Amino acid sequence: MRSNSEHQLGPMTLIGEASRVSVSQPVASIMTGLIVAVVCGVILSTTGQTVQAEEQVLARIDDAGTRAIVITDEQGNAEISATAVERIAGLSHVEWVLGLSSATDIRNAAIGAGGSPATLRILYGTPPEALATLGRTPSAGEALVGADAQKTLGLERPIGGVLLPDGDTVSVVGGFSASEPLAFLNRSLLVTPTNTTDAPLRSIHVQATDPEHVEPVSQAVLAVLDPLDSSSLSIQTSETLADIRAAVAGELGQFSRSLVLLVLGVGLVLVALTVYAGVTLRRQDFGRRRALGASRTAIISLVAVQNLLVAVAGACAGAAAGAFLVWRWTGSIPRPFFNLAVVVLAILASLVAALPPALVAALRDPVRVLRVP
Amino acid sequence: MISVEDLSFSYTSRSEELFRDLSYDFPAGAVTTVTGPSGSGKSTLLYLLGLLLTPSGGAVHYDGRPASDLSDRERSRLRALHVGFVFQDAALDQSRAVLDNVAEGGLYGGMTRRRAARRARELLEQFGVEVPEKHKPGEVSGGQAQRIGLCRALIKEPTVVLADEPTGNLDRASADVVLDALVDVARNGATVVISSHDPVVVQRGDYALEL
Repeated sequence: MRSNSEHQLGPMTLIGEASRVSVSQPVASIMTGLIVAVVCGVILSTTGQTVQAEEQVLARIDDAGTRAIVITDEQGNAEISATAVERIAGLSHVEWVLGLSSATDIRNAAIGAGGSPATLRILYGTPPEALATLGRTPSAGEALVGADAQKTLGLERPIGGVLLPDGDTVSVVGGFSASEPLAFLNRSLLVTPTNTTDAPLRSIHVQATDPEHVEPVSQAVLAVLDPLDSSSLSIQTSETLADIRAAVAGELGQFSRSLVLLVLGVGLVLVALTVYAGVTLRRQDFGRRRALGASRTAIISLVAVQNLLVAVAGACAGAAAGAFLVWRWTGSIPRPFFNLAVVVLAILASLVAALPPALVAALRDPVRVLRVP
Repeated sequence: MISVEDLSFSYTSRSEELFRDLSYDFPAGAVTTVTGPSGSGKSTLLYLLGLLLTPSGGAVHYDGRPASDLSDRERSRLRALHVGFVFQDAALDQSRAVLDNVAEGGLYGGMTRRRAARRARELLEQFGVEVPEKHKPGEVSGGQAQRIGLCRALIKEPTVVLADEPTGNLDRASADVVLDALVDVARNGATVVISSHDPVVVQRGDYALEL
């Protein structure tokens, strides 16, 4: 008797056979594909919108400064060195850090002592995106004027000179417009430090990479600082905002997850019932295959792959339709990763749903359906 | 060669026991017919020989080795590689084309789809199945359908062919074609077992087992 280790369906033969069976069973295939498509479409058009809304709400909360940490030398006795900015920038989970000297009153040099005063601070660190600058990059000792300070000083354009209390002047070479959490700087001029500048820092502004790291970054910043008088330091974080953010993210995320699970669960049951109905109608088909030499594993694989092929087609169609609906309703489409995750989840759910009916088909007694009465 | 030793079988614990310690050799290179009245277990014996059923007592041997107590995977492997079934009603997949039906017989033994399709075309031509290969079984006559079923059984070049009332639904001419083919397979060395109550079929056999 021949000995042959090569038996049962190879991968390509299995896929080919599964696709032929799918085509030869159009009603069952269309039903299954439609269910998977509807599952994807419903998830994207409901949860997809919720996720977008969640992202917008969280972005607004973040704008209010959930990740901001401000260390202030209240009495000016701490004598914090400007080099602390570089050390803090090297800490983990720090997005950016700025150091500011104490404020000095200045006036428009063109107007002189009669002009309205604004404040000038030395800025240490690289300006973040929240501080949009206009004009050329200032050299050492030159200043940028904030949008509000420009009006206060009576500067028609962000260019000119300002007068220090000791009579020296500082050139203004550009302007800036700061958004939260640095919007307060719009009332100031920021001077780039020179090599000889050695003013101690009066405040340090740190942005953590995410709200969860505000507390550990705060602790790390305090450890890095080497204040002369630590009692003079105060630290401000938006822990309440961070808590609200976490709560909002949790609530909205929970709602989204529940909705996804509910839709997937319903889809899973419907796919299982459809595949089971198909398997029941094809009893003789599976009995014949068993007689021809198909093992139980081959039957399970055949049903699973057949369902997988249909599910892939249905999930892609459903995802496209869902994304289109979201685009029609909101003007934007869900993120590609979210789309892909929904497609993969729907396909996996469909595959899981097909396994019990596949097992039923594999375990059914072939002789019972093959016998001719 | 396949053989049964002290074979008995019952579908349920309360149903009547069939065969009652039957021992019999089904030689290779010969046609053995199985006859008997309705309910005597002719089809059941074929399913036992094809390892689709497990005996209640005794054993089925393939080439002297016990086969009926093998795992499902091993029994499936034996069927896929060595056993060709011919059913009374042909048992064709009505939703698939004639060519697909024949080719399917080779897939579980590891044939590629392309090779199986090529071999299927040769067999359909050899047995005079003159219908377009994309036709569905519902579009062919009963005689043609049984020949398609025969092609499906022979595509893997089996060493054992089990035919359950293969001529039961056929006219004499179609029955002769099927019987000639089964006799040819036996002459080429295969073990052929045919269950039938048709005296013409029994006459064509080399050995007869009456249940």
